[in-house]
Amino acid sequence: MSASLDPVIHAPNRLQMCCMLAAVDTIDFATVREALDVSESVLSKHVKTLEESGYVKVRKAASEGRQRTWLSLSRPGREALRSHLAALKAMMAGVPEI
Amino acid sequence: MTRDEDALRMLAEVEAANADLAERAKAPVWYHPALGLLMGGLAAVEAAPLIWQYAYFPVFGLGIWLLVRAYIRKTGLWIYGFRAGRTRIVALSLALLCGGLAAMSGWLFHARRVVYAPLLTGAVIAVAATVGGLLWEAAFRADLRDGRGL
Repeated sequence: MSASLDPVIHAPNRLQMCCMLAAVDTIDFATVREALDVSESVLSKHVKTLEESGYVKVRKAASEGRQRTWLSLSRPGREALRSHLAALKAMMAGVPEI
Repeated sequence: MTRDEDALRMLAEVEAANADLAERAKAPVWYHPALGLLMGGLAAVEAAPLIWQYAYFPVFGLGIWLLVRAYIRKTGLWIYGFRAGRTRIVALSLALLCGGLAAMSGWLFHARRVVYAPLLTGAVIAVAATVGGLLWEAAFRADLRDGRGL
């Protein structure tokens, strides 16, 4: 099976977010927002898109008196990211190094 | 912008995100030594009377819970120690080393009556766990750099 670009992951913020999620078990919504330097509403939209595609799992939990949202990458999300990154690297074949 | 340039830009963004994550995932400086002391204590307490051995388990559990909480509070994330990549090799090696040392210590203490074996083993495990934790972090950063462990 050849790797292909995934339109759900292709948006830069969603790609960065999926890469972050792939490296960890779970990550706080606020931490991702700070890392990507985007507003809450923008990140919420990205999370919703990824969640609806089954790529991201969202869990809400009370912690130290406040509600926190935890994000993690699902197995289909991990496979889609792997395939997407492989496709990007394949596109890079023949591009001279900067 | 061509497709190739687009791909190049995207991969650069992935690298930037991974570099950012590598910084965020760094544990506080006292984290690994504290974990080492807790683990070393498990082996060392074998030399103590049974009541102290039982008393140490809740202390160990509480210590681990506090460490996890402190790490999550500082970094805003949690990483499974046995995640794929180089990190798994480090975590498995450390688990095998500490398990093996603890088993050897138990044998020396109970079968050969080497009374200082648990204390010595506890000290060695404390150092090994501290160094192992730092090695694990280095392995995690290396995994992020070359995309291993996806």
